[in-house]
Amino acid sequence: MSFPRRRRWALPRVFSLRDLRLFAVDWHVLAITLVLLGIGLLFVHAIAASQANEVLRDVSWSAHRQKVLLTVPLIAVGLALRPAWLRRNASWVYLGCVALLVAVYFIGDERNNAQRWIQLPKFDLQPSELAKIGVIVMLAQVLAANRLESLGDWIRPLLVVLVPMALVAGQPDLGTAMTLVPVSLGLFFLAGARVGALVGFVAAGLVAAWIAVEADMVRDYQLERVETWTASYAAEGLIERRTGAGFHLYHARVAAGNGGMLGRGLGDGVANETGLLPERESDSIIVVIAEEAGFVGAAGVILLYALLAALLMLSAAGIRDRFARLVVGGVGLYFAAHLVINVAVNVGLAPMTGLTLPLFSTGGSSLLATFLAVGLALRMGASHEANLDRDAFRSY
Amino acid sequence: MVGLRRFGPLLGVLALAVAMLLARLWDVQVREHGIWAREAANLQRSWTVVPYMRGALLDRQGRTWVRDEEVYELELVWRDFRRGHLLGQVAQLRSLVELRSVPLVEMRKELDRWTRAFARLSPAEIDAFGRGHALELGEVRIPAVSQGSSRERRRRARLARRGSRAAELHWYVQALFSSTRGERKAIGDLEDSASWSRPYVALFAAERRVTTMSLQRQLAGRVATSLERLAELAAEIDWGVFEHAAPGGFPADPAGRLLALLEAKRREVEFAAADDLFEEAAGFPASRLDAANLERIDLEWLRRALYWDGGRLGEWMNDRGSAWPRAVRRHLAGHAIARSKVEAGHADPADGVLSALAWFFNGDRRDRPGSARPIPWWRVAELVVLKDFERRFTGAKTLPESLFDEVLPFERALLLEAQAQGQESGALLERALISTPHLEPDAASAAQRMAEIAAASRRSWDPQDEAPFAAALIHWDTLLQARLAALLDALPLPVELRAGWVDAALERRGYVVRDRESRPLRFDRAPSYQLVHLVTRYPDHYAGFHVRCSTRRVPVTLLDGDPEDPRLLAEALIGRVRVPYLVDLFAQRPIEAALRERQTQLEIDEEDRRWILDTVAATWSDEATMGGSGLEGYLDEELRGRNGYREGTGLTERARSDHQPTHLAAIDGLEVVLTLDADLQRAALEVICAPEPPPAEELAPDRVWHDRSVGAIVLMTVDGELLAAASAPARPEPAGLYQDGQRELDPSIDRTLRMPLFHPPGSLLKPFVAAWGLEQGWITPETPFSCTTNASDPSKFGSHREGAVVHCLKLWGHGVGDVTLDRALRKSCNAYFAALGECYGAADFREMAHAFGFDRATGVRCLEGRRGGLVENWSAGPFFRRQSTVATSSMLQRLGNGLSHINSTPVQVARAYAGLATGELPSARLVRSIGDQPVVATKERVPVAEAHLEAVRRSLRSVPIDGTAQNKGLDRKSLGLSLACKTGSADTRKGAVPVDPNAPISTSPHAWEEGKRNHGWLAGWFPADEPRAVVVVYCHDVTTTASHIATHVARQFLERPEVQRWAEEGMR
Repeated sequence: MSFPRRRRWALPRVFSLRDLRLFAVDWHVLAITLVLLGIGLLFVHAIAASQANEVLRDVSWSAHRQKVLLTVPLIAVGLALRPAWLRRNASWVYLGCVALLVAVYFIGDERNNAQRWIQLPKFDLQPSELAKIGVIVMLAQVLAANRLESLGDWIRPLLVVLVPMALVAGQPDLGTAMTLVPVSLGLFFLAGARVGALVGFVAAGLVAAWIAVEADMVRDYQLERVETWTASYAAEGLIERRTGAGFHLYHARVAAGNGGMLGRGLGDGVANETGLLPERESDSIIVVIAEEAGFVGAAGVILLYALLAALLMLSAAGIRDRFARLVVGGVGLYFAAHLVINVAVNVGLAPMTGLTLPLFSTGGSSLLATFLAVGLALRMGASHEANLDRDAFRSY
Repeated sequence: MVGLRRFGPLLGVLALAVAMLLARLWDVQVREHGIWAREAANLQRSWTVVPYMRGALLDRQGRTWVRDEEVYELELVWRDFRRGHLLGQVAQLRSLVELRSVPLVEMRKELDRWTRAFARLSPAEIDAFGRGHALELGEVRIPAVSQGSSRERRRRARLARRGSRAAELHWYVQALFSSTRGERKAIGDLEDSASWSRPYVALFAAERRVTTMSLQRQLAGRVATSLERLAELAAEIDWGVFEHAAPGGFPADPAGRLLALLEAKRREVEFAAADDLFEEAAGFPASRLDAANLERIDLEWLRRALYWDGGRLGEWMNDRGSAWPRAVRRHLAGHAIARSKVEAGHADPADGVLSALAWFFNGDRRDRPGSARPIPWWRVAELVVLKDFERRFTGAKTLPESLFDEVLPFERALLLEAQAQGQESGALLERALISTPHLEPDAASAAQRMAEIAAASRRSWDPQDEAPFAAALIHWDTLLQARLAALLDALPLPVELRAGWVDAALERRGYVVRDRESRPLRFDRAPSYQLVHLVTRYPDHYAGFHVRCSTRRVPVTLLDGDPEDPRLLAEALIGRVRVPYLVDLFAQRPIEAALRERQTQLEIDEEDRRWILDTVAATWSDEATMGGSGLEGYLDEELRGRNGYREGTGLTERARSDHQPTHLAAIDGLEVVLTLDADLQRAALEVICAPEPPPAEELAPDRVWHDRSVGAIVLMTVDGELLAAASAPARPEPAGLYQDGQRELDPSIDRTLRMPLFHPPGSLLKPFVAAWGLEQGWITPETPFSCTTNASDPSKFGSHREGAVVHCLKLWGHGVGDVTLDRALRKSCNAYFAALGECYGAADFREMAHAFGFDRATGVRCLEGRRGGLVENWSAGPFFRRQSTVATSSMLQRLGNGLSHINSTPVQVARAYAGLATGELPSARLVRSIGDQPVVATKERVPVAEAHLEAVRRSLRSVPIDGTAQNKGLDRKSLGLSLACKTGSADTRKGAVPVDPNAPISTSPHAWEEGKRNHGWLAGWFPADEPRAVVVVYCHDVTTTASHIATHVARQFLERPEVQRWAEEGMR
């Protein structure tokens, strides 16, 4: 005879700090996160207080501050989330994200011919931002027991990636969809995929893209963006196209180039003075940093950001739990992918596409996903779970 | 223990990627810093050319004749009207709901009812409308987009842009209440509450703590006052200048007219926005398709994007579909000529013409780099529309290549082959023009003519020159449209633009519409003071209307007070200002490009700055004012000032604390004081343009001339200052009138310095012939002469010198053996002067004419440099130009009488008489001073002894008393001043003036018997003994002698109080 087990209250099953060893939390990651957030806040404040914004009024410091204050606690939420619960419910988290992506098609708000947002009473949610975290968690769960050794092993992980990718690309939001590619490839690699297979995937992707272009499946304006990018790599080509398709690229390059070695000083860049740089507070904020802090400042920020990604990966490398390792590694890849794509786009190394730089850019959904990801990574890195899988003692 | 077997490579990749980013960042930020810093500086740097004020022209008394004046212009910004004026708001609300452009006139009738209906809408109803549900609006019901599933409804709602329409509805309904930002926020906060379903009027009433009824009454009051204010505004507008603006004419009441005009402007704005969206999606302007081809394209997306109904879309298609031929006739043919001329300066003119015409059809309409020259015709790779056809139209990639080839003549292989074989460009142009309709008489002559026009050094051209260019442009467009029709018909109709491009266009919809609606449209170029006052004093009452300040050349001293047709006094002499020639504007494009290049440098050094300032001063804007004809053209250098320049600093300069921004003030043009006196000019003009009828006792009046006078009056000081120089006619006259076609000439032609036709001075020359004869000793004042009856045929009127053909008009001659110089001058004896003429040799005549200035310029164009504008015809004729011409006896007799072989203008005559009267030949002047510098007067001694001149003067003093001008009221007693004068009747042609003024002039060999036609002159000075001023009257092509016409005109002029006053007060 056994005593009936007392049913535990639901919240502690989800959130608990019991297994969290504070000394094991990677405080370097948290510190760098907060430093980067501080730098971001400084520049958003400068943008909001700029001469151009007095006229344009398109950047609101108070709104950004509110969003940060509302979303920063999500680090704590991530920290408190029990890894075991997440592992068990990864599918539900993932399905929730996919459901939101599907819902966008029905209840999403259409702006500028793109349907990416769900209007909430005080907040516009962009499900594609949450989907990135959902994909990382789900892939980690799928790959926790899958070393991608056979062809059959690839089916589930690929489905996990391709479904949200297709949904996001259809919104259309090709930039966000493409972010999932390096994150997923990185996770596949961490899970044990052979380099040859990954190279094969990349090659297949390129062939598919070529076929899509030849079969007229890619929209002309998207092709034009690529054409503009190739033609605008050199300064002369970009200056020639400054009023047409190269408008955004031109103003990004002007602002970055204008910064020089030491920068123009906070709030004194042409981007802030003229307000001509599109998305200067979100997708192109790195350009504002580059202009006002110069090459030295921008390089410092990029290196710090890369250090954050690297620390997360190093932290992941030290985790024996395969699920936790993949989640933390995935978050590291998430930051690395955003950094590389965002900066590459803004300096002309990649075609123009809209992608935020987490911790810097405004945008509630991005902040929400970022802080949640940081919290999760910190918790996963600091927790010990009992059920170690067969790879737990294998050195990666 | 950290294991890096899998993470190591990833970290390596990350490091590599970061290294690449940093390298690229180094590239952009450090290596290319100069380039981008320059671009950044230019984003901040701005340039403004500060226009100068052109100098004024003043009369000798300092009264302004013409000047640049700051004037106001009334402009309309449609967006401001739509958002700020109640009528605009309600019309927009209805347009949003009904998806059609609801006309303002229709709205005006029911403004109150609709305002109330919209005010009663609740925010929740508008939200539901946005989601695709039905909307009840008074008795009007806008149905739901779909009765199907929720998903289907959402889809259709999106298609019908219901969401964005609902957002606009919210804004405009709130605007009806002139809501503040606080009120909007407070009402917005009610979104989740039950109040959201209450009508807006109730929500605003609650917010303002008034009753709903009271707010409704306020709203009704706003309706009434807004209409009243529009009517007030309309009443102040001068509607005469707007007749062209509203097709079909204006309504009778002013407010209706204003609304019709606003509607026309709104249409203009909407059509321009549609043009931009179409071009964004199609890659070429809509005006490059004719209406039939436009109809083949699916433009539903455009209709929905602009909230148009089918009717409006149809209107736009028809308008744009007929735009090309309209534009060709209006300005493109002229542009083609200007481009041909620019190209013709560098290449064969025929090639230039072909390249200029091809430019309009080139898919890539860029000029040669650094030049205003069009790309050569043989390098035109793709035609407009066809260039983007495959990329832009759905399914176009499947069309056969052949459909895109050889559309226009200049791209035909035949032409290119011929060119390769070295065929001359004239023949190539001819080939390209073959089969072009309306090229008369054939393509060859048209090609030649076009090449000549292009090669001509004149920078302007005549309107008829545009015809062959227009014919070619229209014909080639017809060929292009035919091919486009074939292409479009090969696709499933209606042909769809590819979705990606339409999406890209729609992405820009908001920007395009806002941009077009925010551009000010010129509404009234010369608003009344009251209108300006209303709009500037009460801007809130007249939303959308703005007043802009600009400068304009304003005539001040007017011919008369006719406000409909303000014409300057001495319009022909003063001349006109003009805009720069198109050819010059094209030609200065490379300079403008160089200017832009220097302006956009990162840092501008002193040398560059000087160059920029000089270039800004030397280049013209499209709307610049410059001297054209008359004194405006002649004195352009002085009247024109120098543009100022203001430069906003770039970031680099701003960072340097020692930098001073460039600001160069404009320098206005100089004031020019003329010698003309406005009062005297007006008197002269009134007399010559509308002479009194001839006196009843006049035996030989030319009544027809009096009815429609052609001629001139000149009044000049003996120092050469022209006090009055008036020409008739001064207004346009209907064509086809009698006489020698002079009335059909441009009425602005000046006749005081110009000779549109043959202008012999006749007997006015006799005093000079006499003085020179005395000086040479050929005659003395007492030398007797016989002027007898016509011996061969006494019945003929007049007498003549035997063997010659010079007639005297006195039936029995002037006497046998007793005609002396005095009598000959007083009675103007032709026979005497024919005989005296025979004493002259050809060289003597040339010498005499030169001495008195008949064969040289009068001096009115005395300023240095090559100048246009004022035109003076000073050549006395071929006899005086060609030294080798031998004078026959007959020629000498005629020259002695100032006939057949000598020409002179009234100003030349006036100067010669000044020389006769004073012994010093002055240079004639129209300008007294420029700025504060007087124009130097020059004189030269007449090479005739004073005694000889005095002998002649003595006779001329008697002419009004006992000479050809006796009993004409020109004597001292009648006139109040003493006049010495000479009349002159210069025979010009045979034939009496027919009774019917429109009948052709007789060509009968016996026309001489029917009558003679001549120019009637009178020239003289006053006071007779102490000459101060010279007067010359010229009556063009009359049927009577000067004694019967010029004397009357002279009397009328000299009797004028202005002249009398001037004579009494002496010269100033």
